[in-house]
Amino acid sequence: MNTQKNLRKNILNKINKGDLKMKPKIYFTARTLIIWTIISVTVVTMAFFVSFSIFSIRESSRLFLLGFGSMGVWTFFVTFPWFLLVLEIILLIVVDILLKHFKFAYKTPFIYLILSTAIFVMFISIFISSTPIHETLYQEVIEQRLPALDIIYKDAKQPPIKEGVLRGIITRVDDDMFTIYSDDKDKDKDDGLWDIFISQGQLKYISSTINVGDFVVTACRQKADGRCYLYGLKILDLPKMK
Amino acid sequence: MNRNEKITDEKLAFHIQQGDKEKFGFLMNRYNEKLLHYGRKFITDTYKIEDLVQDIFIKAYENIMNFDTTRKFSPWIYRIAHNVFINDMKKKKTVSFSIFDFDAILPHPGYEDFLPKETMDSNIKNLVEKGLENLSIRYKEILILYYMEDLSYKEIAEILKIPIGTVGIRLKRARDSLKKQIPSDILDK
Repeated sequence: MNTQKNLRKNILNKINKGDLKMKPKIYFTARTLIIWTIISVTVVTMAFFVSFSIFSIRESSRLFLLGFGSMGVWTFFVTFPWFLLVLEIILLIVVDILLKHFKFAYKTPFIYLILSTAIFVMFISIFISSTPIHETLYQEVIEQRLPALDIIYKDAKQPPIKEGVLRGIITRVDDDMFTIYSDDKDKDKDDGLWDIFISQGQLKYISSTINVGDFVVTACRQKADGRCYLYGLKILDLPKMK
Repeated sequence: MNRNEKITDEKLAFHIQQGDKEKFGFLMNRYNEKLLHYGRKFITDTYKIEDLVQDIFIKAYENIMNFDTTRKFSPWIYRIAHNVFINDMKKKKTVSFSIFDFDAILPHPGYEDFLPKETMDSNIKNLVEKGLENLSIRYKEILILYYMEDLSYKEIAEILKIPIGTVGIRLKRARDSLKKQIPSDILDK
């Protein structure tokens, strides 16, 4: 009982002397605002990266790989921006841990919280994708007006050439090969002439499908003879000139 | 009876928020013994528990403006106590804590209903007293809150910041684990 009295006396003394003070209401309001700001910024950043990934996959023609058979699907997975996906997952967990400060969130099983946050992020990224923001930023980077975003946007439209994915205009069609000229006005490594060979099995079909002047995306695999053999082709609409 | 003794904890907290600092003494009187009792289940050193209870009251006073007086006061102060005791054990590394709470990941809809205590093992309270030593901290704490501190699922959910279904499933697992650890001769007594 004495201990209890001492404890009470000790703390009340501290309070009366002013050694122990209540934190003002504004402190807690500011803390809540800061947490919500961090959550909002992180969610927008996540949505930005998701929409950028969609933009990059679409604009670099990697999406067509999914229609090029098992080899195409494999190449799609190899060239998938896994780093961004891992970053997204980390940010998603960070957001949900921050959300756990709030009653509505800690009352919800974590799996529901993760799923609802992911769906919310997807909605915002769909909205961002519907705006020309990535195209605008890409053009700014290409025209060297936005060097800070160079690392993100520079290769955003670049097909994965190393994996044999090319995009360009057919300049020549021969018996067992065709040549495409790639120039997407970005003065990068995919610009130039590329010879693509057609295997016997595909020869009849491909030869009757393509014509000089077609704008295509192709996927080929290099064989032991050093030639790149076609395994996927898609004829596209010619891009509008700016 | 003193007029202040009739006032609810929430009302006292409201008066403190309005500047009646002396009322904090009444809250300390009400919770001192409860918090010491709660602390004894985690820490054996009596002096240390008293120091930690003092820390709990200091933190409660500092943060009283953050208490929503439309909600119950006891889960709020027990939440502070939970953090203080757990942080002390973490500092001393006396128990291991897993970072991830797997029970809180998935929903447990079948465990959200509050089970009447009398329908369960009538000896469970005794078992909790006897068998807490070897239990993991998660199981230990939920058993203490439910059986010793007589708190509801909802209050425990607020203290531990977990869904109500998680309280139910963890309590069930804690009881099962407790029964496994108690030798049968003790169970029979």
